[in-house]
Parts: sequence; C-alpha cells; structure tokens
Amino acid sequence: MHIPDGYLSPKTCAAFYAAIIPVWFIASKRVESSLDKVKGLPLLSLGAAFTFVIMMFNIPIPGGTSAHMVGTTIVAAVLGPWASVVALSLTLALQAFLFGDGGITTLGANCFNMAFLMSFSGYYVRKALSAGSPSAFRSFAASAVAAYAALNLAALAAALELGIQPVIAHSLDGRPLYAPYPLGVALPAMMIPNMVFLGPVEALGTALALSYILKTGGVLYKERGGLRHLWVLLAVLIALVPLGLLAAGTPWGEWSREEFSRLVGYVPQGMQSVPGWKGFFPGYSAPWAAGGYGKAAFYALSALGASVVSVFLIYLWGKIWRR
Amino acid sequence: MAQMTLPGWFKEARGAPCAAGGRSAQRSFVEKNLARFNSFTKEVLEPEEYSKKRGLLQWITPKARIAGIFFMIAAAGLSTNAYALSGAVFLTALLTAFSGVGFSALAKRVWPAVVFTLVIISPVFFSFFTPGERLFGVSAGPFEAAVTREGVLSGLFFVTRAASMVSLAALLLLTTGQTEFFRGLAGLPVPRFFVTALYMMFRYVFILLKVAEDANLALKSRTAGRARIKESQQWFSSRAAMILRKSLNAAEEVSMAMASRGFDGKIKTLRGPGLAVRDYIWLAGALFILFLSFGLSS
Repeated sequence: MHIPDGYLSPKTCAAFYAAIIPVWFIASKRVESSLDKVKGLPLLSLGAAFTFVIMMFNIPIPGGTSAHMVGTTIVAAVLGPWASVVALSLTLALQAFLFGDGGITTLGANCFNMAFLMSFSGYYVRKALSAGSPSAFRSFAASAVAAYAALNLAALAAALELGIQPVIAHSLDGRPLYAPYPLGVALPAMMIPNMVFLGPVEALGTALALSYILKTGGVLYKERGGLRHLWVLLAVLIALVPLGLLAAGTPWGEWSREEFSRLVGYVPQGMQSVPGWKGFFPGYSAPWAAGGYGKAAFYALSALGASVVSVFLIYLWGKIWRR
Repeated sequence: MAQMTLPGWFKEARGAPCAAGGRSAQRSFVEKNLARFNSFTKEVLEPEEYSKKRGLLQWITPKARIAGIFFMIAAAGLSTNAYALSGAVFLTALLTAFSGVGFSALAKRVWPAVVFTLVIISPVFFSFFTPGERLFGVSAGPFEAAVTREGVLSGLFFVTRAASMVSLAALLLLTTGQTEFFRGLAGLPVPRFFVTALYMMFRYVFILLKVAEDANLALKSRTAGRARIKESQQWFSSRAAMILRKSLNAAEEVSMAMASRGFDGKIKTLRGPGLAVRDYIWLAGALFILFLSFGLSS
C-alpha cells in the first residue's frame, strides 16, 4: 500500500501534502497537550519503532505461507489516534527516506492513507464496537473488525488516488502520464487482495495482540468526549477531500479571456476594458526571443533567473533566521 | 621444503551454513523473519561505505544535498515528455559517476522498485489495454495478445520515470550517512520535534529488532518440525504484545533519563554549519532543473 514515486501526478502529491500538513500540525499539538511534555517524545519514537518492527514481522497463515501487517490499529488503541498519526507518519517517513519503501513525493498521500485514515477509523470503529463493558469476545471481535475496516479504508483511498490519475493527468492524445489504470481496474486490483487476504491478516494480528495486552493487564488509550470526535473527524474528512486541487483544466475563475469566450460565448464588456497585468514576460516568452530555439533559450533563462532569485531568498532567510 | 598454497576457494569466508541435502523445504515464517531482519541491518550499514568516499554529492553540505536531491526528484516527477525524462536519467547517471557510487550498488537498491513497477505496468504493453501499432504477439482464435508500439512507449516512459526518481532517492541514501542525514534534515525547515523523534525512532528500531530477532531465534531453536498454525499465531500475538510492552517501558525509562538530564520538553539542538558557496551553486543548479522541468511539462 506504500505508493512509490512516479505513480501519482505532482498535483495529487501537492494536494495530499496540503491535506496532511494541517493534520500533522494538529496531531503534534494534541499529542503535546494529551501526553506529558517529557514523556511525549520517547513515547512517540518508541511507538513508531514498534510499528516499524511489527511491519517486518511475518504472521503465519494457512497454506504454509505468511504475510505481514501494518499495525496501525494497535498503536491507535494504545496511544490514541493523534499520537498514532504522528507515530505512523514517522515510520512512513523513515521507510521512504532510508529504505525507499514508498516514495518521497508520495509521502503525503501515504501518510494520509496509512497514518491518518487508518489511525482514526481503526480507533473509532473499535471504540464504537467495544462501547460499555465488553466481554473478551466482543473486545476481540471489535479489534478485528476495526483493523479490517481501517486497512480496507486505507486501501480504498490508495485505489482512488491511483485510479483517478488517468483522468487528471494525461497527454494531449489521452495517454496516461502517471498510474495508467482507471478506477475500474485500480479498485478491484487494490481491494480484492486487501479484502480477501491482507485484511484478515491485519484483523487477526491486531485482535490477537490487543487481547494479549488486555489479558496481561495492559491498559488501552481512553479518550474523553465519547464519540463526538468521530463526527468531527467525519466533517474534517469531508472538508479535506482535495477534489478542487485534483481537478483537471483551469481552476474556476482563473480563465483567460479566450477561455472565457469559449465557455460562455462572449467576453463581458467590463472585463474587456480592464487591461490586466500579464507579467514582464507573458507565457515565458519575449518579443526578441522568437522561433523554436529562441523560445527554448528564453525559457531556460527564465528558469535560471527564477532559481537565482530563489537561492537569494534562501540566503536571506538563512541570514534572518541566524539572528 | 616446498611451500603449500591453499586454493582460492578455501580462503573464501562463507557465513552461511552448509546446505542440507535432499529437497529444500519451504522456509518457515520464523526463517523469513530472520532473513528480513538480517537484510534490514545490511541495508542500513551499507551506505556508510559510500558516504565516506570523496565525491560530488559527499562534498555538498548534508542539508543542501537533501534539499537539492528533493528538488531533482520533484523535477523527475514532473517530466512528461521524452526530453525531460532523458535529462533526468542523464543527470542521475552523472551524479552517480561523480559521487563514486558504483552503478551495481545503485542498481541493487533500485531493481526491486523497477521490477515491481514492470509487473504492475505489464498490461499497458498489450493491445487490450493500449491499442495501437502491433509490434509482435500471439493469437489463438478470437483471443489475441499483441504488444503495441504505443503500449511499449507508455510503459517504458512510466518505468523509466519511476526508476530515475527511486535512483535519486537511493543516491541520496548511499552518499549520506545516517547521522549526516538527520543533521541535514534538522537544518531544513522541518519541525525539530519530528526530526528528533525520527532519529530516536531510528535508534530504537535496532533495539526492538534485536528483541524480535532473539524471540525468533529462541522459537527456531526449540521447534522440531513445523508448529501448528494456531500455535504460531498465538506466539506472534504474544511477541507483538511483548515488543509493545518493551517499547512502552523503554519510553518510560528514556523519558526519566531525559528528565534527569534537564530535558523540559523543549528541543534544543546545536546549529549546524551554514551553507558554503558550493552549496548555493548546487541549490541553484537543482532549482534550475526543477523550473526547467516544470516548464517543459506545462
């Protein structure tokens, strides 16, 4: 489920980074307030290290083979969903940076799926199913269902992200530029193995580990406020669906006059009367840089100029920050 | 007296035990675990060798190196035409050569991702997914499996881009030691909390892996034949819970140790060296490539 580099278009990657950065910010603030200031850092680091190790563990399954699990629901049940978001994000970052497991450009999307969606769905599904004073069986079943649901929700999100690529990122002749399979292929390809094979492994592994923790006197995370947070989470999820950023074509309201004329058939008079600022070099071109080579050379010059300005800004930022 | 010379094969150090005779049995999950833990440790220790070499990337300050490679990965991700992609591949090859990293070492890290992508992408090569000019194929009655020119172009483009992005990430990893990497990351605008937690996590992964390895070895040493599935699953659950408990206990001990040394929840780190002229040139180059790629793709 770790989406590698090159599978998602840059705008999808940017949209998921934009979606996950506020989640990281809120999660770190929530962790700071809910955990002891001194204990928080080692607890999260070791929680993340636990997830990393558990992802490397093979679980024996019938047929003489084995599979490995993600373990998010275990961490969410023990440390709470916000701490789990941070711990899983750390795990995914380490896997991407040091082991090439999952991409760097797709880290935002992977964290959204496996750290955010899995942590919250796993935690709240388990909480809803084991509300009150559950028997050992209900607690076991709640953990299994929660882990199964969480894994499949994350898989569904990954399938949707991959499946929309041919629609939002294709060449002029319709050739997909990134993940090439449409939703009709991506959804079953991703969901069937997760629902039939990996989901039950995750469910069993999580239920066994959590029941063992409870049986040996371990305590799971208890959140104040009942299921109210579940509804808040759902509202946030709806708000975070980054459809606007993923949409193909010109963003709404950013049309040029030609595009506007094509869309509605005319250009309003008021719009025509305003000259409009087109920049020093509209379309990255200059009148004195004509022809194919001239345009290419001017574009290269524009890129060079932009990089020099950016480096200068980095330099200034470094100087100001050092003070 | 004639001097005796030992044959070459006798002097070769071989860590692996003698292979058992007869049919090789399917590896149990315990053996798979041990192999995985082993390969992990090898994978972590290997980059140290290249990071100590003298080369182009090693010459750049870690934070500038990380930022520059990230820009280049983004540039490779943006490439949507053959020119931009060829540039990304050429650049990766140049960086590899000038940083003293062997192409075989790079290929060893990149091939699993390339093979995975090739497997995933394989239907794209065929006419049932990408119709077009038929190159070769087989047909049996109404069924036909033909490779098309358009399919090959699409598939190879996708695989090459993924491979160049993974290669750049692998190159960063191979030329940057772990300590350098975390120091470099701390120098970038990444919250200190995350970088410190990432570094602590990296250190504790080894401790927990040792616990996991010991548990697996202990099980292997006292198991004759194959254990029943249920027993193995119960063993897994108890080990997972035990590792979690150890993690929580260790977190408690570490936090006490940190508190006793004056840690009050605020992370203070030493400020690393500033950027040198060569780092600015490197960053300018990386940004130039990013902007160029952005322009070529739009």
